Amino acid sequence: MKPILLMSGWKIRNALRTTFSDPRKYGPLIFFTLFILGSIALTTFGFNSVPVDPANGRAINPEILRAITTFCMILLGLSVIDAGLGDQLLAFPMSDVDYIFPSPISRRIVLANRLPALTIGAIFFGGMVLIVFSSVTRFSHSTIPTHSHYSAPGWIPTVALIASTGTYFNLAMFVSIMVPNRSILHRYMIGVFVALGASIALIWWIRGASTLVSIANSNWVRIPFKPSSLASDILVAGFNHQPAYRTLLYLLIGYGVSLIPLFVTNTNWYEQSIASAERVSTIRQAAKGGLAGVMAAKSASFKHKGVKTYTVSPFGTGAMALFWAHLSAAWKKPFANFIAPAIGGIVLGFLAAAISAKNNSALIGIGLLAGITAYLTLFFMQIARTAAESSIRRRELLSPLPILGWQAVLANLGVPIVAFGLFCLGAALAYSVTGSQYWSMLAVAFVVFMPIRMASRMSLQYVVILGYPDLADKLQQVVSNCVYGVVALPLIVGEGILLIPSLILRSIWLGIFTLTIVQIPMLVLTLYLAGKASEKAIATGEPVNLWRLLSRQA
Amino acid sequence: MLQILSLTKRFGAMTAVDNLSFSVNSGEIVGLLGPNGAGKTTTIRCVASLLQPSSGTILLNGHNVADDPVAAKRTLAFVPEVPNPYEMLTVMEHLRFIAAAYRMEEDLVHAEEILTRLDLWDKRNDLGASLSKGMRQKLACACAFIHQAQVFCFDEPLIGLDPKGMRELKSMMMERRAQGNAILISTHMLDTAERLCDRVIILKKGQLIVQGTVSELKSQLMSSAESSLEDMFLELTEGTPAA
Repeated sequence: MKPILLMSGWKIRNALRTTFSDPRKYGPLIFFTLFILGSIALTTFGFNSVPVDPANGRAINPEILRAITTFCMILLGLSVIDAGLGDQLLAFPMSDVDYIFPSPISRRIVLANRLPALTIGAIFFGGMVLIVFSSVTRFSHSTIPTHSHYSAPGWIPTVALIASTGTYFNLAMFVSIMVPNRSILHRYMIGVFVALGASIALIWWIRGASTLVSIANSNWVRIPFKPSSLASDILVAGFNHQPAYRTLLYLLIGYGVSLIPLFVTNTNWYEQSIASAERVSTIRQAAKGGLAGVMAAKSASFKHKGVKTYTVSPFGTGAMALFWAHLSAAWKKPFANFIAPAIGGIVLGFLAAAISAKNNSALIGIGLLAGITAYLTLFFMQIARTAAESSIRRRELLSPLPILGWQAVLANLGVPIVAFGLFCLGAALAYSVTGSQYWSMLAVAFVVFMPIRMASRMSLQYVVILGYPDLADKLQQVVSNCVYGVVALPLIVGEGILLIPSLILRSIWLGIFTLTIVQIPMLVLTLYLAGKASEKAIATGEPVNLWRLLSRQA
Repeated sequence: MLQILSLTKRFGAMTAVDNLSFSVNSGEIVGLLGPNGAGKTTTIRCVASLLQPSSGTILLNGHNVADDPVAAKRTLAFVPEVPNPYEMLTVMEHLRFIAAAYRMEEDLVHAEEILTRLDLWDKRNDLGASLSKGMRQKLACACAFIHQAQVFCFDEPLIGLDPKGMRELKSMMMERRAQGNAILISTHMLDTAERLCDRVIILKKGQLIVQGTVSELKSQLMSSAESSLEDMFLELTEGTPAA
């Protein structure tokens, strides 16, 4: 253990030195870590310590809360075990593979060296659950009248969540080192995961909360998922004013017991670890080439039955040829790039219609659809970001092409725009075929307004990314994200202002029409700016100054 | 010192190494040759206990690698094909770590000499992240020579080295041979193997097709005494007759 401890000490010392001399390298990581730990500490000590007056707060039934928490903790535990079936837990850094694995340090000690990483994972995920739980139950009180005062989470739930998640992490690590063909089990696990989530949602939908509570309390759930059920007991103990020390003790014992199999086995897991480490290293390398690169690398790591041909005939000239090349690359993973967004849209469209019908209010369903779409927008923007970053990496390939700047931007962003368009089309079609209230408005908003707005935002983000072209500089990338947020915020506020007449006149059609009309010149402008920026940045490799670009247009 | 007995390694349906047996004796440099995919790296990785053999036995200085890996590896120095140093460790800290891992009592007495010979002494306080590809290779070699190993396994050690580095490394290998160490080198550089190795083993599709000293193999297999190891290698592995 001593050599590894020595080395870890040197690594930490050198990383701190590097951080102080060049904060760009580890500064964002340290900031993020402190932010997460600070949030967990704030939640643990006193953030929720304000007593809630039963007359003002929201009433929560502790039994239903415990059932929901139990199922959430089970899903978290299963997802952690699923991580053990993937590569992440067993993938040691390649330097460990080259220097520690061949050295006379026993495998148990090498494994013990992994424990801090597992504990950090447990603190992170446990902390996230704590923060979400506290946010949801804040200003709430129990429906049990005699126990109407919600006590602060304190340190017990925090330790309980870390112990519960840590137990699952230890089990996941054990699965990692004992199961050679993990990728097959990983696929089954995803199936179990989806089926469980869907079953919980269906039971809630059809049979109501009481059935969910009785299932959560049954031994079928409590025994196999003991760490989850004990952690849930502790989380809701504040609502029942029940002592939680003994439950915490059981959880800590369980955590200790879960460490035993890890250190009893003498399996030579180096071979599996090296395979994982090499796969993760390849994927990280491929990530520099954008999302398509990651998908291709992941795809190559799976064994396919038969031969899969990737050849798509070339089509078009100039920018169309470039767009077609991106489309052909994305077609190598048709499910992820095209089919999943379309199916996702269709499922959400039907779900929104069903919720509207169940609640006799179209606004609830449409609100849910809009909320999820807004969240997914962030995901599609991230895909567009990697597409823009890939264009910087392929600068030497792109710069000699005789294509106008705006055409190149449109070609590079083509795949994420098409994917988002398919999502919107799927949602609009599904909602419309049900004939739900406001279907025509929703169809216009999703088929016309949303794709144009998304293309405009992606173009704007493209300009900002070209302003910070050093992709290896983490600080630049954080700043780039912030700058995009600052630039996009006035546009969101502007859209809000444009909606005021439609709110006054109570006309949704007017709102949709106004926003759509405004998006068209906006798209032209952002595409033009992105084109100009692209012509400069892709040709010279120099960062683009957004203000100079705007003032030159002015 | 190094004995490989009936080693077989399968990856699923693919047999990478098939019933391979050979030994490397004390004071001997043995070259492991073969085309890409012949099983050279797999064999060396099995010796370093990085891969679990499907069957067969590997003995390092009398210790069975499968039964007593820690004792076996204490006598082994391994240099991978593409070394990845710790980005946040300096060159000297790499050596200190290896010294601690191998429980060296005499703390880095040869460090300055080894690093100087490999042109790394001036970079001893540089982080691994700042080293070039060739320097990384040299660092891995320095780590191999710093402890008192008895068996050395090098996987393509000369790739990426400058001419001076190559010469120093070869000379260090020959010194170790003179001290009675056993050295196994996997390489594609046939002219180097011809000059450096006492014996060569040629693998093809995981199987040993021929082994012996270069002169023995020439006399057995080639019609012309002027034929090189390269001619012999191509004829054995590709069926291409000597020019």
